[in-house]
Amino acid sequence: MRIRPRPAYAFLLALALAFSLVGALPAPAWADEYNPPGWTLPGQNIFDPDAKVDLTKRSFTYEQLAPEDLDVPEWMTEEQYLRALPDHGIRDDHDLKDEDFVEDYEAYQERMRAAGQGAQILDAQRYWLTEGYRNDPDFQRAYAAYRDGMKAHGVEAETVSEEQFWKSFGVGGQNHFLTAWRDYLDKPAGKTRKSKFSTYKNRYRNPLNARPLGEAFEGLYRTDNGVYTDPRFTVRDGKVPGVELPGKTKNGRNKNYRVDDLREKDDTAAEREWDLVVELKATADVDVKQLNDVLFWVCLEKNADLAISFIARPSPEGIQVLEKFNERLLAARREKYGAANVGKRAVYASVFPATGTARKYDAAKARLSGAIVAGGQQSWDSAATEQIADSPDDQESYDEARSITDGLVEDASASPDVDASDMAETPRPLGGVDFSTLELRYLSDTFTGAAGVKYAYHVDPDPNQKISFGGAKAAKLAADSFFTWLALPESAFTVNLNPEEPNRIVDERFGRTDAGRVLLEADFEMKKTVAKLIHPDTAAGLSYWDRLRGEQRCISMREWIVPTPATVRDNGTELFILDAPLDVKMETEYKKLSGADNCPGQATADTQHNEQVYRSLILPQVVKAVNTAPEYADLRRVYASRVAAQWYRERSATKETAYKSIVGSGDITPWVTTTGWKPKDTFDAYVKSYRDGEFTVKRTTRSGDTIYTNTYVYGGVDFTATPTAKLSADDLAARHPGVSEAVSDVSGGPATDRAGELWFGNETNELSYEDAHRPPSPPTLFWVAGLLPIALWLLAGGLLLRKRRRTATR
Amino acid sequence: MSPRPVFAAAYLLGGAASLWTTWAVGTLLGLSQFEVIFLNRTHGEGQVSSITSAYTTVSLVAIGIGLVVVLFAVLTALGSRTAGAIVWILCVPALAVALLALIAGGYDPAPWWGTLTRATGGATFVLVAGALVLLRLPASRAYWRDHGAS
Repeated sequence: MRIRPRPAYAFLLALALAFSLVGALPAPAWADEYNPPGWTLPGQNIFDPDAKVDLTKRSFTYEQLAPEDLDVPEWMTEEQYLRALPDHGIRDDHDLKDEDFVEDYEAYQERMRAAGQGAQILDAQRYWLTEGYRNDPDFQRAYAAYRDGMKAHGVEAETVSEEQFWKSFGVGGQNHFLTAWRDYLDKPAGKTRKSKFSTYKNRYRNPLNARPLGEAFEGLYRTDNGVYTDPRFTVRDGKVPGVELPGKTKNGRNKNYRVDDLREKDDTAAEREWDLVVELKATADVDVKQLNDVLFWVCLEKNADLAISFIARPSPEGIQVLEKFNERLLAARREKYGAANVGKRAVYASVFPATGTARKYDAAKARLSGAIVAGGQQSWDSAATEQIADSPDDQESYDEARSITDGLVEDASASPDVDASDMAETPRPLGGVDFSTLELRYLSDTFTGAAGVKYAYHVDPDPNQKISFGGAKAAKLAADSFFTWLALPESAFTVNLNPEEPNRIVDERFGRTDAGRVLLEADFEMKKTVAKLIHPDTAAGLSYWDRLRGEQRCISMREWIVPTPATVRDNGTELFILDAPLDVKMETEYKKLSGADNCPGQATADTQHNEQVYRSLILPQVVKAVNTAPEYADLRRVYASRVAAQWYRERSATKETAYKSIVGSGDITPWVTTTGWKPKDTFDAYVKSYRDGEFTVKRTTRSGDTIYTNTYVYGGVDFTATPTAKLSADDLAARHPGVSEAVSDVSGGPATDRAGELWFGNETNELSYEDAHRPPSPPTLFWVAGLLPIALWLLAGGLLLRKRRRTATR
Repeated sequence: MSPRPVFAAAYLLGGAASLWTTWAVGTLLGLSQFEVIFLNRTHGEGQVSSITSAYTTVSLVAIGIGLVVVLFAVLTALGSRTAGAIVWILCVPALAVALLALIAGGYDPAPWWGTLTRATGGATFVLVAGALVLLRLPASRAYWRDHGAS
């Protein structure tokens, strides 16, 4: 057979061959400005404007220190024991030039040489850490005190060895913590020392917990991106050989530092490469101190590029810092090595999105401040809730936490075994929001494997706040009052400040809660607000007095703070509270009184006129203050929780909700105020205030005589009712676009709706997140009971066949 | 002794009955999961008992039908023509149900149970169809004819 060549087919074949050859060629290595030569940064490139948005989150787990991990017996916190402990830095920052130590070290060297082990002599620091400490009198005194204490308290059997006791002077150890606490107590009380032991313990623990998170993130990054298997990564969590930081420690040693990874350059690569320092951050924070104090010098000495990957996208300000750092490092390297020996960029950055779950740390036990969680419910992970819990109360608290962290970082820097870089990033307070506006505005009754609750706090943005203070306190008040409103009967939700009724201030149980405190304080505050507004020194006050009628100019100023209808969207399982305004009503209106009885001896017409003057001139300003003034922020906060709690209470009446057992239980034990406040405090302050003249108005009559008028404002706050006006789904979408989407996933940080408002959410459940979302699997019994019929069938088949064969062969 | 096709058909029907029983046992053991899935969908509202009773009823019916099929399969193997006829009456709807289970069976939120349902549907369809084919073979028909004649 003769094959005829067909030109068209031959052409197509040649084309396919050509394409396949081209495909087999190595891809051309295009120069990429935003990736270091020879390596593509994993994740989403921060600087590259054309970078693909890859927000696929990897997940990982890590161990954390739980609060109980730093629990110490009470006797160890007593002065006598604390004083028996040596210097805080005894382990990692010991003075190696100390005469006694030098003598001991020399003796050790001689012993080693005499034993023919000269080659195995440890350097001074290593000797101190592993053996030398045993000869230190301070250490021995402390260990003796420890043993005596254990014996005296009947726990001698639990005494740890000398070596274990020594190790706990290392960063994060019990002795390290106790000596830090002792040194803290030595500071002058007040501005520089405010924390109680438990607060101090948490502040000490927080930076330590940044470490396992960071390490786990680094592990995930390295595994996912082949760092562990790439032989060019030659340094891991350590110093770069031959590179020291400028300066020395106070004991004259080189400073300790670590870089996460170092990737060696490939001199044979087609495109010129530089060494690459890889820094991995399990936060979105740009650590300026680390950049300037460590990474700058390492990259400069090594003439290396820096690749930095964050777990979440840094703020625009943080990215700017990185850009500036890039310019600075680039300029310094060019100056030192010449422009030809440095690449186009010095710093590369990416986001490598991931979610870490703490295994050991039990959020439900720890009860993150401000989380709506009680009973058997547990909080699921939520960056937003953590940000609230981490929010410092004020600048002083922040400074103190920062100072504890700095101390830890300094200690860790002195230790050859600890990486301090992650610790330095705590505390990480949120900025840009105004936590004073925090209110519980979203609540959902959920069921995911078991009953739970999803909620979100609404917070106003405030770009001017570099650090946002007070989130933890505000959220705790919102959460505690939510449960208080659930636990107590609605009839209890009223307070009354009336000097003639000291026994009717507040319900006994309600008066032990923060919600009760806030209502009473707001009531007192309202009386002060009225006093300010009617004061004749102000134009409005003067006008007010001038318009009053009657000989006594009597007026009943009994008034009550009461709710007006809150605008809500209730879709059955979710409640959005769009606003929850408050009103101030005159008692005559509130209790439908005539008002005539309040000013005996004065004509009813005059009394009514005077009240009308008050209503038109003063009352609107009081209402405005109650709804907007900062001094009433707590009142507005607890009232928003009251609206949410009422919805939840009504829902719990018809179905099994997560907190049904709390509704109407009357048990407010977990939510008793910890401020030490008592209702009588506010009552007494009120009585003192009007006795001392806060409510005394001095008026001068036309004839020149002075008349002193004592003005008492009675009344209270009544939250027994929570009127609502309901919106449709369309109204909600129109009035608050994007709010439903903002609260749909509350596991991340704060979500922003389309109006720019912020929602800090979280979800609680009886089950852990993993258990609640685990796909159902066959019950274990199924493999036995379920497969039994099939086994029996097969067995019966075998027996019957055998029987038939036997019958057939007979 | 029954001829091989009749024995095999009866045995296959027994297999189908054991699979239905397995499915029923699996369903009964999975009841708590179905309740949770139901509550997940309804945000914890609604009558869980309706789900429980529905699945329990279907499971018990499956076991009952299985027992009945086994009984008549044995009688068929013993030569009862009436039993043979009843087997046909039972098997034709059983085929339809099995086909339906194979195609649309299962419950996405409980993948294991969906797999169990589809696998049971597919396997019983094959077993029942095979049994019916065997029962239509000349040897089977001759057995009943002869058995009935004797």
